[in-house]
Amino acid sequence: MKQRRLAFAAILSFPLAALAAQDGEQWEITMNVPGMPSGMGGMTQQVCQDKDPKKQVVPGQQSEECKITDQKQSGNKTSITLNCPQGRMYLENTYNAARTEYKGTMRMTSPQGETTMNMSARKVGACDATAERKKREAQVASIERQSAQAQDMMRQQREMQIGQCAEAVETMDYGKLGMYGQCKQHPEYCQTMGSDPGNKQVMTACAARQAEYCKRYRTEAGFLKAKADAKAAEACGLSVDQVKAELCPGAAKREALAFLGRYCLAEAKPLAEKHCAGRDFTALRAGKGTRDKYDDFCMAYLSSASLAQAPRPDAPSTPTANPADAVTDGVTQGINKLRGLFGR
Amino acid sequence: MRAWFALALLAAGLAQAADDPFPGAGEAYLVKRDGRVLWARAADRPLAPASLAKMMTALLALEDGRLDGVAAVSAAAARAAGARLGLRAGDRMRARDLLGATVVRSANDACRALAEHLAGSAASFVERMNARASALGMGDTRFVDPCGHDRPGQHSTAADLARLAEVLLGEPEYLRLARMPKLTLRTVDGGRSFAFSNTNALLGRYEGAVGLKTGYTSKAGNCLVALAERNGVRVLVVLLNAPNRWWNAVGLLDRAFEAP
Repeated sequence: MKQRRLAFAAILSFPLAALAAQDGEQWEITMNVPGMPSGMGGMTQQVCQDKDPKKQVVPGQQSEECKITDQKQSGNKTSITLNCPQGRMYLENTYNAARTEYKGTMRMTSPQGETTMNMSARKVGACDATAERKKREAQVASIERQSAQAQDMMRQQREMQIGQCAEAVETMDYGKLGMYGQCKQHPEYCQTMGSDPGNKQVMTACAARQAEYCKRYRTEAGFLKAKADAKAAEACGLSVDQVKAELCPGAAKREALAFLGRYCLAEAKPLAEKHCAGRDFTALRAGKGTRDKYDDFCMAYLSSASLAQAPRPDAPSTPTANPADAVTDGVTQGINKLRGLFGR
Repeated sequence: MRAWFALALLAAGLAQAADDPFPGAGEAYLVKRDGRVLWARAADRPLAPASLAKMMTALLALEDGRLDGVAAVSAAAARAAGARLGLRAGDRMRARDLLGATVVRSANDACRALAEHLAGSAASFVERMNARASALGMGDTRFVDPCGHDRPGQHSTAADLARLAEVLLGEPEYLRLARMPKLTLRTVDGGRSFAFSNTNALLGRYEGAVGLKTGYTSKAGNCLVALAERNGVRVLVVLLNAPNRWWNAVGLLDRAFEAP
């Protein structure tokens, strides 16, 4: 990308290098990177050069992007040095006697290294330099506008991601951390993202949020809000069972019903036996069942316990007279004692 | 032909690929969230569908569109066993009301009367049911009774019934009836009225429950097609021969809503 921008800057500066060119001359310029196989890396472009050397530099390009730091003309040789945001550029062209052709070299030095390009050019006719200059200025302005828009969009995206990382903690929705929540499993993602200096602020903010998320995941409220998200647990270097084992004893002690009924079948069993007896699903629906603080607990416990029961045999369908008697699993054997538990 | 065979193999592979984290949920089950299969067990196993067959009866009635017509209840319809309204031979009912009783109460007398009204006879209606099932790609389904009574050779699968349920999601009238907690109907002459509750125990009890159909016969066991919607997310659960169908439906729906 940076190479391309340097090449673009070079094209814009050709008229300056061709100081001896006549007003409104059309030049065909071919650039080649040495060492590249034939047919690869070559670029030919026609450039209209102004007869007035003062007008040959695109103003916007000179003042806002590249600054001329040195400029020489000696016989049929011209040289120019430019300092651009992307790096330093040195051009040297040698013309033939008729000044209808030249050969030159362009050397670009940037943080990524040094690139040399060879150029050859020939005059191909006349052109409207003023119109061309205006057209080029418009192109540059357009590119600058697009570049500014792209920068602005990237800034907005980064801000949005920082906001989403904060939201991930508030909502305990791990997915909102996006790629920044996958650094443990896929360090290559984060290395790639971290290599862009613009992303460092996002990386730092989201890493802090991810740590906060994992801390909250190990609390009853956080675990409930995260809905025991197994992928989040994995991303935090935990497992759902491990967190349940950490939290269930405390939840049982404090009778944290919402957590117990949902995630701690063994610890919830004594409470279920005491408070969930006779809570027939259909009776509850009809308003005949008890409606108290244990209602939701029983609903969560009984549905979880029911799903946790032993697999049904693969034999053909043989419905039991009393469906509740089909329960064989240890947990459900316990709750099966609660008469009228499973309404039909 | 080869392409169909390859597709069938692919479909079978996909069905087998679904996770079965709740092997005790029922003899067969299928859970879909926004059309994507989350979990399944024996979803392609042919089993007795019980009153879930009435979903097809309702679909055909809605597609037929002659719901303002008046049906005379036949003696055979009035004799229908199982869940029933208590219709008598000769009662005249609007087809729309028979449909309501079929969906809300799963009434077999109303269902039979509706089938006879639309096709002339139960047997002709069953032909239509099978033709529609075939058109919908319900390859493992064969109806013998319009209302789902146990009959030799009658079977469907959790996957096929899920397909049928998904088609019904495009029928607003079905959804209106399926979520209706209670309904009161009258004969055309106004002489008799019938008040009944929805057989779906999830309605009003489970947040977001919409329907869709319950079923029970001695051969099929407890069956249920449950649909619930929360915050724009739609979960469909099909349970066949599931003794604890309500609790299991609640558990499966909860987990499906929580699934990533």
